[in-house]
Parts: sequence; C-alpha cells; structure tokens
Amino acid sequence: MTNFFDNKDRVGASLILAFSLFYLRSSLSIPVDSFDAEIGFTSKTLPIFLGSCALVISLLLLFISFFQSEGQSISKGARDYDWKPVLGLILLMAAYVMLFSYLGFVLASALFLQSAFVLLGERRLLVSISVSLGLVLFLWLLLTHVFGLYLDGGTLYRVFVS
Amino acid sequence: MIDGILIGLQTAFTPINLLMVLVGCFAGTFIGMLPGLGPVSAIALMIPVTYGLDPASGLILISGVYYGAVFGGSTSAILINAPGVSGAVATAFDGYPMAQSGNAGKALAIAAYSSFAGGTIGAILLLLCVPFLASVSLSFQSSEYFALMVFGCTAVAAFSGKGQVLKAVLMTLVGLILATVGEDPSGAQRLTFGNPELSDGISFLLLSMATFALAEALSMILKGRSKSNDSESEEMANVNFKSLKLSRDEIKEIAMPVGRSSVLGFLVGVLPGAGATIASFLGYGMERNLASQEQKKRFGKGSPIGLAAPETANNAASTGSFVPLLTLGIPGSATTAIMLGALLSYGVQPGPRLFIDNPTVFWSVIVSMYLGNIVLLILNLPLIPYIAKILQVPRQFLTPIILFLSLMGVYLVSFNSAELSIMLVIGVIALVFRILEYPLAPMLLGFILGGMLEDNLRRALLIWDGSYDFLWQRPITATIMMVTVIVLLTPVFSEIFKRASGKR
Repeated sequence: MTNFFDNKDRVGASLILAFSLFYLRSSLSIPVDSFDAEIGFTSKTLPIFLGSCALVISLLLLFISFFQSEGQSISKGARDYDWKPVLGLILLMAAYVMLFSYLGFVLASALFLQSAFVLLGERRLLVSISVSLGLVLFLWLLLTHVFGLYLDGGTLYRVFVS
Repeated sequence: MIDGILIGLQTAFTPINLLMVLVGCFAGTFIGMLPGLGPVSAIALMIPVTYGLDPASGLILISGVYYGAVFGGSTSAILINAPGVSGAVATAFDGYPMAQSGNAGKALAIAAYSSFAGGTIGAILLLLCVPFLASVSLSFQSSEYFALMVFGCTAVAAFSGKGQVLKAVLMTLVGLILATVGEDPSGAQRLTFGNPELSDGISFLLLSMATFALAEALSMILKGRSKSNDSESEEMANVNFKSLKLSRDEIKEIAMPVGRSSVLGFLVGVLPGAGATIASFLGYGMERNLASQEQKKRFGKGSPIGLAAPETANNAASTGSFVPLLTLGIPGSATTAIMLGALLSYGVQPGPRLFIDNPTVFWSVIVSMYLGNIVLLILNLPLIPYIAKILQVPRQFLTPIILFLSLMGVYLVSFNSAELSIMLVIGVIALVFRILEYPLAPMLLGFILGGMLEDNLRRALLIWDGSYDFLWQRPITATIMMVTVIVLLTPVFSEIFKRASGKR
C-alpha cells in the first residue's frame, strides 16, 4: 500500500480521478433548459463530456503507472524538499487571509511580511521590520493617496477610532 | 497596412504608452531575472496593475513585461548559470562560460543584440503575416472557431515535454472543467454549489496568480532556493562586465546565425505549443550542425554563435507566438494564454476581427513589441550591471514579497478577502501538482479557452439545428479537426507504446 502512493503519476491520476467522479456526479444534477434540450446541447452536455474524458484519461494514466519503473518516486524527490518553511508560509498566508478584515491592510500585511521574513531565516530584526513596514506603508500611501483606492482599515482600527 | 502601422505608431508613441513600455520592460527584466520566475509569473503579477488602464496601454505594458522577462531570464543564465526561464537554458550553454572567462559584458551584449535582431525580424514577419492570416480567417464561422479552440487545447498538450502528453491532456481537461463553473453560455448557473463567490465563475486572475505566481514562489522555497542565493551573490560580486562593445569580426561571425535563427524561431513560435524553449534548442542545434569544425569545438565553451543562436530564436519565437493569438484568438503558449485571458477581461476578443474591431489595440501591440526591443537594447543593456543587483537581494526577503504581491494583486481587483481564501486553496493544490510534475500551463490554457469553446460549439449547433454534421461537412472545420486528431494521437500513442515497452 505504501508503494501505491509512492508514484507521482499514480497519486496525481488518483486525485484527478476522484475529482472527475465528484465533478461527473455534480454535472448530472445540473438543471436543463427546455430550449437547450431541443438543440441537444444543454448546460450539462459539456461538463458530462469533460468529466467522462478526465475519468477515462486518469484511469488510463493510473493503469500505465503500474508499468512504470522508478524515477517517479515521490519519496526520493521529497527527501530534498524544504517542507517546514513552505508549510509555515501556507499557515501564515491562511492567518493573513483570516485576519485581514480584522487587523486591516497595514497591520495584517506588515505582520505577515515580518513573520515570513523571520520564518525564512532573517535574523536582523531592524532590517526586516524596516522592509516590511516600509513596503506596506509605501503601498498603502500609493494605493490610497495616489490611486485613490479604499483599503480596509480593519475592525480593530474602527474600534479604536470610535 | 500603412494606415494600421500609423495608428499603431500614434498610439504607441503617446507618453502614457511609452511609459508603459518602459515600466513593462524594467519590471519584466527584474522579475524574469529571478530564477524560478518566468514570463508567465511576471505577467500574472502585473495583470492587476493593468486593470486600471485602457486595453491598448494594458497590453503594451504586458508585452513589455514579456520581453523584459525573456531578457531578464537570459541575463541570470549568463551571469550566474541560473536561467530564469526555460527558454534561456540553451543561452547558459555558452553565455555562462563566456561570462566566466571575464567577458560578461560581451556575453550580455551578444544576447541583447541577438534578441533585438530576433525580435526585429520577428516583428517584421508578424507585420506581414498577421493581416494576411487575419483576412483569411475572417471567413471562419462558429464551427471553425470551435475546431480551432479544440486544436489550441490539444496542440499545447501534445507539444508538452517528453512523457508529459497524457498528463498535459488531463490538465487541459481540468482547466476546461474549471471553466464550466459559474454561468454557462445560456446564462444559467451551474456547479456553484450555492456559493455566491462562484456565481461568476473562477476568476482568471485568481487562477493564474494562484497557479503561477503563488505556487511558483512556494515551489522555490520547497526546493531550497529561498535561502541559498549566497553563492549567487558571491558569483555576482565576482562578475567582470568589462566592455559591452562587440568587434567587427564578432558581429560578422554571428550575423548569419542570427538571420537563420530569427526565421527558424519565428516559425517555431507560430506553432501552438512549441514556444521559445523548443525554438532556442532548435536554434542552438541547427547552428552547431552548420558550424565549421573549428567553431564547433568552441560550442559549450563560450562560443558567440552558441550564445547568439538560442537568444535570437527564443526572442523571434516570442514574437511568433503572437500570430495565432492575434489572428485566430488561440494562444500558442502559456504566456500568450495568460495574455488572452487579460485581453478577454478587458472586453477585447482576439481573433481575426481584432484588427477590424480594435485596430488601435492590434497595431499598437505590434508596434510596441518593436519599441520594447529598442528599450531593452538602449536602456536595459547599459543598466544591466545595476539591475542585476537584484540577484544579490536575499531570497528570504524576495519570496515573501512575491507572495504578498500575488495576494494583493487579487485583492485589489475584487476587494473581496474571500477570494484570497480560494486563491490560497488553489495555490496549494497547484503546488501539489507541481510536486507531482503535472504541467499547469495546459490547465490555464484549457480554462481560458473553455468558455469560448463551449460558446462556439453551442452557436454552431444552433446554426446546424443540433446536428454535429458541421464537424465533417465544413471543409475547414473538418481539416482542423483532422489535424487536431493527428497532433494529439501521435504523441499519445507513441508515449503509451514507449511506457509499456520500456517496462518490459
């Protein structure tokens, strides 16, 4: 079972196979317009065709993957990958997206950048804070004062102001 | 045509559009120079900036970014042997050894002059080809467009890397599938799962930023390229630019290869899916085969021909890839696919009617391509020693900034933080498929062509009373479909055969 998932083509094809099955199932329940039905091309015609093709090709790729030699191993390549900072950055971005409306553009962005710099190994705090705050403030000034765009100050800012 | 060129000149030479060419070339050079970030990511990052501009200015800016990124990719290939784009890999074969031998300035100059020549000859060929092809394709109806869209999807899939055909076809299908989310051509909602964020479909900008800019930056970190530019900084510090001038003998030596590679590159670029990478390798290979025994020995050790040929070919191919986009409305590469998406979001429909309905956009883009080449030659080349300093900026700063700008790019168009969540999810999925070595460019292409493909199929069926007979009864449609089947099936069967027999 471990070997089954240690093949790039196989895992990719399995993921798309699952996606195609879900997509096909959803496509079958798309409501149909009576006029479209007359010309034989409804809202679900193309989705069903595409879903079926994706299903067949992912199955074909899955089938072929059993005849493949090494070189497609996930574990071999993954050994050299730097997973931790990537996972950290994904979590940071998720936190940034969630906190954006609460903290507002300036604070959320500066915090995101500063945390990301530190996460990637920047230890000179003064430099990193200057870069993160400087860039965010420059963008904020440019967008709000030059381009006249509105950037959300965030709930926190509104609480303090009121 | 003269009128058209005059319209183009008039539009391209307005102060704002000249500024766009300049900004585009500089921004493109900066981004393209960063290893891992190519023209597609550069354009994806710049698209939000263009949304406030009129279509002509926006497209001029994007074209400038494209050329700049190609130039920037070559620069990092020559200076530190780290091609920013795949099209610059062949450039590094001789460019890097030349730079190592203390002639970095000369190598950059050869690359710039060759790119300029390739771009110029490509632009002239484009100028001659496009109006002719566009007038021929004016007779096209929905059935032909449908066939072309199918061809566009399959051609890119079929031309993709070795052992990647089935995966590319699958990813094109995923792109087409994603394009069906939201409103269908009849106006009905489908596959939105009751989510109002999906009622208008998935945004092209969101998808391109997530799959290219975001996933590419994350992939850079994953492969450990985020912190390891100390050696690059060191290498940059040791680069000796010397003189940017070329001797008469050197110019003489590269003149013919540049001419040949320009035409070859342009022709390869016109083919959907072939693109700059194949063109540069073909250009390099062709010149190596044609070189004298003495010149052949210098290949790989800093040969001016070995540097000039791929550089010329990849730039001419970049120009050539605009032919299918501007005449038929089908993108020939991932870069032109993303440009097609940008055009569609401006409300401009590329294709044969573009030069009738939107002559300003059509001609100004062609003229600005040439301007872009001039800007790269006159301004970027002398400034390269300074621009190249970006390679010394620590990656722990650059990568988070790229991520931040990608997120901001999407937010500033929609002002909807919910879209950022969708973007993050798509970005992570794209990263997984990158790790699994599934090509993402065909997916983006399928996504962009999906809407038009369905629209034209529906219209063709309406005209033909629901009959699919148009597929074989209209000669042009039948021919395009036949070519599509051949182009698609040949590599698919050969790959299946090779994989199956290779195991035994």
